[in-house]
Amino acid sequence: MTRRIEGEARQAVIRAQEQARRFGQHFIGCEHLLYGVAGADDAVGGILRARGVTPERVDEQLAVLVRRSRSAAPRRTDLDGDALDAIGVDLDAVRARVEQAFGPGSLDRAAAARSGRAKRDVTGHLRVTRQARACLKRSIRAASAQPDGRRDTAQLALILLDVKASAARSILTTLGVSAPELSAEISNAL
Amino acid sequence: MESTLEIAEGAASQDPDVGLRAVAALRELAERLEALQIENARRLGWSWQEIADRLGVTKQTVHRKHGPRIGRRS
Repeated sequence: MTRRIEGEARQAVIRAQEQARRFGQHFIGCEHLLYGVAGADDAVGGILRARGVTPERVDEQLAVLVRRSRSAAPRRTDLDGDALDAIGVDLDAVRARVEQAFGPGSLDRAAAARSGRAKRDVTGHLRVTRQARACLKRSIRAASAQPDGRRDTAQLALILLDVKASAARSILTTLGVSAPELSAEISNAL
Repeated sequence: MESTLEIAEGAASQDPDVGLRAVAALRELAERLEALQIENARRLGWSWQEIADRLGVTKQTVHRKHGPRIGRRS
């Protein structure tokens, strides 16, 4: 996918990937692409930053979103004894038998081994979410229709701003930035 | 304390919050037991195929999931 994108837009995708990795996420979404575009060394990146959409501020907002989603989801490394108890499974009894067979702390050691596996995955290839993939495809199409348009982040930025329900949009909203106004500004500048 | 437990048990089949959390916890517990059992089986010289048969999955599935962590038979 990145091979068909050139110049600053390609750099934006690379930055998006770096950000996702840094947050320990296994996917690239519109929010990461927004971060990538915000750091672009071109006119579009300049406009975004002038309106307060800087890489630092996108990072801060993503951190908030990530924290929120991780605290809402069950912590997978925790064994919820109360939840098991509700269906009649006595975690203490299971733990006692497992540790009798495999040694003290073995049930927790097994969890550590599993999270180690999950961490390794982040260094591999990152999945691009359906929405982000659609944005990239649309931007490639739009850019190739323009003379020399493939090299800057204008098309990608406009398409990202156009998606109404995305993490990128909620980050913009929290930053107090109107996506349609920002779009208009970018379109006018080109 | 006892009454809290009774309420939880009574609600188990009805309240999605309790039920879903129980499913997630069971899954986590099963994953941990699987990791421990496979590690042990490999230590005892079991092949991936033998392990896969007992788990009811393919050899590739179990190897892909646990191979990097456990490695070769010792």
